[in-house]
Amino acid sequence: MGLLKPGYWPTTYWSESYWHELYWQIMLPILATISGEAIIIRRDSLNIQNRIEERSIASFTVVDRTGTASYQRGEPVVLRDLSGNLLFQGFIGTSKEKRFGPNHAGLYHTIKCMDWHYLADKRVCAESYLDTSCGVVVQNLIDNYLVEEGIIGGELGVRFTAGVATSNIEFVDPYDATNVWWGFFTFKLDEDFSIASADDQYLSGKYDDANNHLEVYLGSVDGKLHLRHTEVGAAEVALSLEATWTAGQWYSVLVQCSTVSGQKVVIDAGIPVLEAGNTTAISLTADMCIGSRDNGVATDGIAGIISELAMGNVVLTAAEEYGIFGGTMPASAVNIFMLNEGVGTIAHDTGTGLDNGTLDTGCSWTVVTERIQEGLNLETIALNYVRVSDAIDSLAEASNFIWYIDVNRRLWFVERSTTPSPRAITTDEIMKGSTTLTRGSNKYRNTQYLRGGKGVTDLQTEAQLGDGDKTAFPVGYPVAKEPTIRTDIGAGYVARTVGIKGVETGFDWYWSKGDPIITQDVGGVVLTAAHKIEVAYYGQYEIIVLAEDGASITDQLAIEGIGTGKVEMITDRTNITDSDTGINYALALLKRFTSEADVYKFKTKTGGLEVGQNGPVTDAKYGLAAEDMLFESIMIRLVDREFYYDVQAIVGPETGSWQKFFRDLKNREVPTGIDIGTGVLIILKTTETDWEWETECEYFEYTCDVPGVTLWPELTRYPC
Amino acid sequence: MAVLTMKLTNVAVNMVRDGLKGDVSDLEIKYIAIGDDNGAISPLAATNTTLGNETSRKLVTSKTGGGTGIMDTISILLNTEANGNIEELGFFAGTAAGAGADSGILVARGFYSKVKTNLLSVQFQSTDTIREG
Repeated sequence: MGLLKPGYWPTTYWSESYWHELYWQIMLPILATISGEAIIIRRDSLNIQNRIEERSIASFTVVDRTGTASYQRGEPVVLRDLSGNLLFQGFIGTSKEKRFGPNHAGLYHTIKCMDWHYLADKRVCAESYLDTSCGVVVQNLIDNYLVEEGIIGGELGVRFTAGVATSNIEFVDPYDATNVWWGFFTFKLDEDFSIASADDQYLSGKYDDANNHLEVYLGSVDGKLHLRHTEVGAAEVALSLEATWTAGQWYSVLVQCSTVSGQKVVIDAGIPVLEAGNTTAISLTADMCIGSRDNGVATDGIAGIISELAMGNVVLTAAEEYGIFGGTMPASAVNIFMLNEGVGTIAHDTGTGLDNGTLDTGCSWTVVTERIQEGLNLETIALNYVRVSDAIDSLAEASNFIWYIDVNRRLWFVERSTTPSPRAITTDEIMKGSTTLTRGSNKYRNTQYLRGGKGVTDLQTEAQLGDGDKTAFPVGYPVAKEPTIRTDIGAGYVARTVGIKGVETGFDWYWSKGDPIITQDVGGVVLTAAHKIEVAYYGQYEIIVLAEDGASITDQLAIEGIGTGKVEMITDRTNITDSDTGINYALALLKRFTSEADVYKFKTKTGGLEVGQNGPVTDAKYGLAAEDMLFESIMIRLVDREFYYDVQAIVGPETGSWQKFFRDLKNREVPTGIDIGTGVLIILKTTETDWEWETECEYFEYTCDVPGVTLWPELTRYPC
Repeated sequence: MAVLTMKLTNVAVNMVRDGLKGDVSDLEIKYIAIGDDNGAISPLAATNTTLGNETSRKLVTSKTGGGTGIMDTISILLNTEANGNIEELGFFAGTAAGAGADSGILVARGFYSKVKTNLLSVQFQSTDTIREG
């Protein structure tokens, strides 16, 4: 066996490279493929760097003894350990070939790969949103750009709120007079539901009145799901076997009414509950509501999320019932609401009925996977032809989240504490001499300026006199939206038509976004000094937000000893177009970068850790005692047939790589300056304050009459 | 003297939030309400918005500002009032708090089990303390 060791290879008949191949084919603890074909990796050449929020990369050298292989940019690469665990998946970025020697046909292919993050890097998006959470925006970007690249995202649904009468989707349905109706709902609740719950929660309803309705709801009287159909006060009810419902767990429900087979309730493809005698036909006139039993009256709707639903008026076959729980909607489904629009107030019906529904104000779009969390709600955001990865970077920054695409092509947009590590990290596994701890962050700040784009004023109404000459009238702010213009030429104000300057023709007056000048059509009658023009418009102003963390400034002053303790930073985000979003964004930046920042690096030979995980780290030498740290980057190297993992764990903001540092530097926006005289608005905002509120109640019982509620000598002493 | 375990409610915290925001100007605790649910109908929880089964209510007797962030609320049930089975009590605040059952914002709720007769008067002394966290 000694002959097999490197250095003892006879080259009389077999070349050095052939021995290489033979040796590593047997000994290398890795399974590697390019475009599905197995490859042989050269000794000690493998290096994998996994990192959140950036492209992870892998590099290695392929031993190609025959010299016949050729590798192209974009070919898929998969690296696994011998247990089958994924170490890296991605694409070839570059491939360099080098011959074994001058007289040998064999080739070494030096391969550099990029991971799935590349899929988000290579797409450019152009979207705009109003009053939308960052998570919904991310989900929308996944759906619109990344799914077709192979990224696995989550899904969208609608979040319903209990306690209000406006949490529902209403649609005009075709079930006013029918012998059959079935409904299928996928939902999860915000809180556990059982007989102990205070209020019913309605999934759906077609509610004429108390004596005439069709309802699907969780009943607090018994904890069960109720299918209830009442015509002229005679109720027919079918109940689920399930009487407890766990918060956060998805449930699928199929309910059916039939004049032939009666009522049926099926939960999660389980045992059907049949009420064969309940065969009254449906004769109701109200619209169908989802998430509540009606629109505008009842307040006991579901508190949770519905992700998809369907309804029909033909009895389902057994195969269709089976299929619907597996995700196959029956061909006869009249209404299918996937609830994956994400924006707007229309829930599109993709069934044969095309009965689009309307989201009322008490419910909203949401993401339904745990991998995409809600994050900050943005009043407005404009993504104006930016890389999808840069857009998600900004959304993560605004929400103080992290994001990454894992080896299984799943995109995560989550709070940093979302994914726990599989084990605690202690010095038992940390290799001696491999550790360092860096304290402090070069991104620290306790005073954050945020320079945004344009904010929009309240409605401004300005009136001016003509002078017999001018046909252009300035207003106080650059105009943000189409104005309303009226003129008074002696007989009172009369509304005038308005078009876009330089684009439209045939209007009385013209405006342009960002332009403070309103101009008159060349054919219009010039206003005299006795004539007036009134412009009602929304103006634009520039946004600068200043957010300070008073406590951190005080702490920093104590450390520095002199000065103010302020560490200021200015950030430009021109895609922010309103002040509320700017304030929240600045506060998120402050929260992210004011916090304690430690970077702990260690090596281990034990695999199983992944970037994005959080785990308790203990190393007494550095004072780390089960410190909860985020694994920001993990470099995997294969040395002498053993894997080594270099882990960078952090508390506080992500540090990023040098590549990211220079990219951010390159992309930094250069402001054109602040001109106080042209309406710059500075908004002061401090960070959160914590309050505590305690209440306790003592009681005193007197077995005699108290003469009166105002007749006592002291608060606690009474004349009994 | 004995102390009841009271549960501050989410709606009370949100009431203060809305007060700071300016949406709510009336945060006054006005009524003490009595009920006969021992938790079977409505378990004690921060999500409570009413008593489990309110049977009567009356205006609190007095409110006194104490030390920093402290307010004492005295409520006395005379021997002629709220007689019968008592299992729960709560304090209601806000502009919607009136004589009607369940009206107003439930600030805090607790369990107090007693069959009250006309030989018994009970004084409840509730202390709310708000401090920096």
